[in-house]
Amino acid sequence: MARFRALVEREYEFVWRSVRRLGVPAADVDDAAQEVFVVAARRLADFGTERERAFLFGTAMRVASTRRRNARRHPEELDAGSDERPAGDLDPEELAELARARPLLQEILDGMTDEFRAVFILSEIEELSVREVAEALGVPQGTVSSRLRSAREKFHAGVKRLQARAAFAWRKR
Amino acid sequence: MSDERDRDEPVDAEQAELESLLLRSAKLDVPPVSGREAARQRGLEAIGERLRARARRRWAVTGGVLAFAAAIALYVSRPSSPSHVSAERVREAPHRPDPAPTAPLPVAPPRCAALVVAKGDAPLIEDFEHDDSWVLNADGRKGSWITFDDGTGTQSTPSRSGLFPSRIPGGRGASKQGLHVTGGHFNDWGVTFGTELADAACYDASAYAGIEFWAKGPGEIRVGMQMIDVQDVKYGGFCQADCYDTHRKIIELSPSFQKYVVRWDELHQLYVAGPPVAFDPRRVRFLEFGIAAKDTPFDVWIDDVSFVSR
Repeated sequence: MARFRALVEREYEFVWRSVRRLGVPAADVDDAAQEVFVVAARRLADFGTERERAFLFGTAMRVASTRRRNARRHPEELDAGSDERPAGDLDPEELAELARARPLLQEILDGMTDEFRAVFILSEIEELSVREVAEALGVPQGTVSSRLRSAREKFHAGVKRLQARAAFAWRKR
Repeated sequence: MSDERDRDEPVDAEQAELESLLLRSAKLDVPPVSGREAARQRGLEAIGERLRARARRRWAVTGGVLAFAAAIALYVSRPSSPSHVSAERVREAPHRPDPAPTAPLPVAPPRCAALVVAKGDAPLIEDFEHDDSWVLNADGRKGSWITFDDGTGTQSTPSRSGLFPSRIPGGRGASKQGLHVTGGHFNDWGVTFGTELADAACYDASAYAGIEFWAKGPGEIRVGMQMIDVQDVKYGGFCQADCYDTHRKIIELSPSFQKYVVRWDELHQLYVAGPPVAFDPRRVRFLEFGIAAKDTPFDVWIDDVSFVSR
């Protein structure tokens, strides 16, 4: 019990961000993150402390995949969800800028396949090393490196599209 | 971006700034405070129980929960079996002829009110690679894994609860997960776990030739197929008295994973009080694995449970 409580305390934000970036609809994110921990609670004896993030992320990927499928089947059950986050130390203007940026990032991530998206999230957002990403995904480090290279290319291309779209929108005004 | 990056193409300052903003928007994305507490609560208390309750509800609806438990209780409370099948490791055997009923039924059995007929094209019942208690939804099958015990000991999963897969330490070939059941001493009839094969219906498994599975552990395990004919009439079966003498085979397990194959003609009633019932794969309700009290404490793995293709 104590280990599970500590796990939630330590990794909840990681799991929540992961399911969010893995494309779970906003209205479903809290529930999906909790579902990941439900699985973890049941399977606590199956993974050691050194594999906690690997287990949590692997579970998050499965949960997210299911939620995305359900969202496609039942789009009427979704709403936009709230994007209001605690303010923390950021000023309102910066918070607003970050809030505007999130859907743009999500748009780019949604354009990636799961294998590229997973590597990108773990490496670029969660800042895990290649070795840690390889352990989390159960693939060789060389595979992580090559996927990461491709994912970054897609990210760059996605940002360029955003810039082009913004420029076009500006010209239309 | 992280220290291991090597940019594949030049990025201008404006693009770099936008990329940095996008990544920062994700890194600084924090969940509502309430979510963490909810995750803790659900993990500790509610959800595990909810998932088990879901499995229990299904069984309760079909009457299977009581039938299954009663089957074991009645079976083991009898005197020792007069036709005990000696322990034997079953190895891959050459294909055998059609497993027609081993003896004629004394009277024409009543028809199953509901029947699911297997086509024989999807033998895998469960590979345990999914994190739920349900069997694979193939060839008309529908059921969930659940365990029962006699209440005299403790199991890792409480009696009448759904069973979920566990990761196999080191894996087993391509298989990463299996069903792991452990428990302490029992001194009555022991433990039985298994699954319904069709949703509140008979399952016609005659398109298949038997059951096969991988397992390891100390002691013996009793693999059985419960026919509707031995199920108590009170719970949807056709048996009026001396019920639940399920057709089984006793198998001695090995400390390492071994594949076991049990063909239909190897299943026998271990105790026959009333008129014997010949095994008929067209009228099965449950697939079950039993651990006798003498084999407790126990630590058994089951994996890749499948019908045997013809």
